[in-house]
Order: sequence, then structure tokens, then C-alpha cells
Amino acid sequence: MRRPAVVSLVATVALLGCARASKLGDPVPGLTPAEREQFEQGRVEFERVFTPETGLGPAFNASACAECHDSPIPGGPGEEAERHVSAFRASDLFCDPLAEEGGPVIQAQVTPALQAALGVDSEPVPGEATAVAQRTTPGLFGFGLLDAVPDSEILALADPDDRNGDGVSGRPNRFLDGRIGRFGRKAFVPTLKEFNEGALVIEMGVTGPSQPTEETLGGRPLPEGTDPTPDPEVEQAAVDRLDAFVRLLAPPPRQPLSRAGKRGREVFFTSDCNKCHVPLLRTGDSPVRAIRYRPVAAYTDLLLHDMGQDMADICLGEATPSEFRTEPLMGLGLSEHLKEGEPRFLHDGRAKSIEEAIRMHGGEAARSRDRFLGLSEADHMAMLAFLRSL
Amino acid sequence: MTTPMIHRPDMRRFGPLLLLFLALAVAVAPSTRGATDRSSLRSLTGTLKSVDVKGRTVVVLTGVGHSIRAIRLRVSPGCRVEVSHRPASLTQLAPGQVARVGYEPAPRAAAGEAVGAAMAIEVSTPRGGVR
Repeated sequence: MRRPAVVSLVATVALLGCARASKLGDPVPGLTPAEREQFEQGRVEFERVFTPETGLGPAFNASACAECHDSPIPGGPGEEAERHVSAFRASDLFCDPLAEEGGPVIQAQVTPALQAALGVDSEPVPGEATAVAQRTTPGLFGFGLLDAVPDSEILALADPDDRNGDGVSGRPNRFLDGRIGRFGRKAFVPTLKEFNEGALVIEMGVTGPSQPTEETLGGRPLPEGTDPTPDPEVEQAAVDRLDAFVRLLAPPPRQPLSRAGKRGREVFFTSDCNKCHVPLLRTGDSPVRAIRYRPVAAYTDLLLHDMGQDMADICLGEATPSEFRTEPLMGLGLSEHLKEGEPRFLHDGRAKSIEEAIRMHGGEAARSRDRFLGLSEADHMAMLAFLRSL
Repeated sequence: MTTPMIHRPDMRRFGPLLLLFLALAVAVAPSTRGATDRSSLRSLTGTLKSVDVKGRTVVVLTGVGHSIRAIRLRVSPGCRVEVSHRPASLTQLAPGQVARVGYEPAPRAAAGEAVGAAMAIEVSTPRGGVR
């Protein structure tokens, strides 16, 4: 074997071996026994089924994290989709998440007590909404590594005014307090901790110390007696265990690349897909040694890109309706084999295959999409083989 | 169950600001003298959703992850307003700006009511929150 090939092989093995799971659902390698124990305890919290007596609702989307994040195992993507709303004011580009009207996440279910009190089965969509979006359930593998990527790394990739003239102009989203966001399909949430803590309330109606108030139902106060569990409904220690599970979940094991897959990797680069789906980010400092200063092959830049009007739905933070965060591609193939239902791709599940998802790319991604569409049949298949391997 | 989410202030950053709030509270609201103490003051940072100059109220969006709350605050008569570190008036505030608000919480507030009285509103950029 020639020396460059050996170097390349060693580098690839080192890269792929770093922080990747040997088996889907494993924690990142190299945890201390205490961290491993916290991960296992967190898995129990992730699978914990809430009832109205233990804090579920009164309005909710699911009774457990693992109810939706379940394909093929807890922490994976799921077939469920929920509704998000916003009101975008084009005159001054103001995005209203309709918090006073029950937004931005609309709960699809209510507890029997709330149903009896109000006679409704779900939260209504506010009349003020200018857009209603479907949001699929993402896989959570490797999110702890994304959380540890420094803001400076994200900002270094931004090119809001497209100064390099490549037609790609990523920019960061910002949370309500001005911090740079990275989680969620609009890159709205700055940290994984907040992403998890917020999900407890919006998805299950379970209040915690950081968000001790329930979601309203369409902005209406909850009727007396419909929320019997005192707030906060879970203690911080339980929230921390849940957070540890999600944070320490390793990226999915990468599938060995076939000859076609290797060709697909080349095509991925020559089609400029890597301009947004940046192959490698690097984590910064972290209290968890196994996550600290590691490469993460997430295939995202965590930035917003204009995906064109056909894709547009809600706004969120600074993200306009047509702007979306570059979706991480690690574990992409998992969405081809959901436990139930047909495959779902893109933020709203409108694409039923990876190929269809690429075809639906527009806006800043139109040039890369067109290159993909112009590929030979063999290169076309090679690209898909590569994407399935991630 | 209707208490809004509140960010605890970072004393190192907010210490001087809180002292200023205290001084303002004592100076401009003598009727509340004795009722205002350091522990009663809170602060939050969020995006302005609305500014009602005539009604002297502001609504600030804040939250945890995708769980967002709209916090309604009455603007006290002596409220200090700053934009880019310069004295400003309520009319210079606009939806979309990121604001840091120091306020005195109301004893009890029902859903939709003001949860307190803003004593200081600071906007670091003339226009933030949206492009």
C-alpha cells in the first residue's frame, strides 16, 4: 500500500473511531464510570411514561420522549410530526412565535381533565398564524457533540453577504436573548440543555425548574383543576439525567463505504454539497472528557440557508420562513427505516426518499441540486450510497 | 401556574445595574419606599414583541428552548430607557429588539396581566432580533 493511502486510511480510521458508537444507541466512547451510570439512568428518564398524575399535560404531544424518538431504538428519529406556528410580518421582518396564543408548538393531545373542562381534543391553531408547519421527529444521536462545537466555529463558516460569491450565504440564527442558536430545524435554540428542558414542557406538558409554567391552550389560562400536579413537575436531578442521556448518545456508527460509496463521496464534494453540509466540525472544551476537542462528522454548518419559497413555512427568531438550518446528515439512513409509516425526509417529512429530498432543495442549494440531477445514473446511485453510509 | 419564567441575574454583570435600579426606585417612587429591596428586583433578557407607548407597557419574549413565554410589563414612570448605551425614550423601542429589562415583580399577576413594573430597559443595538 502506498504511503499516502496508508496515511489516509489511518486518518480515516482515527476520525471515524473518534466519538462514534460501535453500536447504535451506545454512549460516546471513553466515558468515566460515573458518566456511564448517568447515561444509563438518563435512558430510564428518556423512556419514562408520564401520566396526568405524574405531570403529563394538560396539553401535550406525547407521554414519553421515547414515544416519538424510537426508530429503531430510543434516541432515533420517529414517524410522528407535530405542528408549529408563527406570524411573520414582512413589513419589518418581525417574527412572532405566537407565544400568547399558544405557539410556537401546537399540542396535539389533551388530558381527560382538560377535555372534560373545555371539550377539545387538541390545541387550536391560532387565527393570527401566517404559517403552520409540520415538524418531524429528529434523531438525537451525536447532539452532545454538536452542543460542544464553539460558537466561533459556527461563526467562522458564516458568509451572510456571500462575499466569496459562491451563491451560498449561511448565517447564524439567534435566540430571543441574542445568543447564537444551533438546535431545531431553524437553529433557534443555543444549547442542548435548553432544547431538552424546553421539550419536556412543549412535548409532554411536564414542567421543570427552568420552565415552571405550563403551556397554555391557545393562550387561554388552564381551567381550575385540570393541572393537579404542583409545578415544577419533575426535579432538576431527573432533568439532568435526561439531559445526560441525550448529550452522551454517540453519533451513529458509520457504515463501511462500498466502492460506489467512495465514488459518491467524491460526487458529494464536486457537487458542492459540502458547502452547507460541512463534513467535519470540531468540539471545544467540555466538562465531559470524551466530548472535549473531538471531530464530529455531522455534515452540517449549523447555519441558516435560504432554501427557496417552495420550502418556506414558519419563521423563528431571526430565521425567515424560507431559511432553515443545514440538517446534519449523520444517521440520515435511519429515516429510511422508521418503525412505523413510510420514510420521511426534510424538516416536515414531505420527501419520501433521500433522492426526493435532494430534488426538493431550492434557494441557495439549487445549484448543487441541479448538479445532482445532471449526474449519470451510476454517480446518482453512488451519491445515495454515500449518504446512506453516514 | 401562571408565574412567568424568570432568568436569575448574573450578579457580576448586573450588580451595578441593580444598584441603579435601587437608586431609581427610591428616587422616583417614594410611595414604595421601604417595600423595594435588592431581593425583589428581577431581570430578564428577551426580544421585544410590542411597545405600547401610550399605555406604557412592553411585552418581552423569553423562554427555554422552544417553550416561549410572552412577559407583559408595565413601564414605571421613572423607568430608564437606553438604546446603545445612550438615554432614549419608549418611542425608540421597537419589536424585534433584544432588550434587557430590570423590573420589580407584581405580588400576584393573572394570565395576560403585567407581571411587574419595568425600572430599566436596555437595548444594545438600535435594531436587533431580526435581519
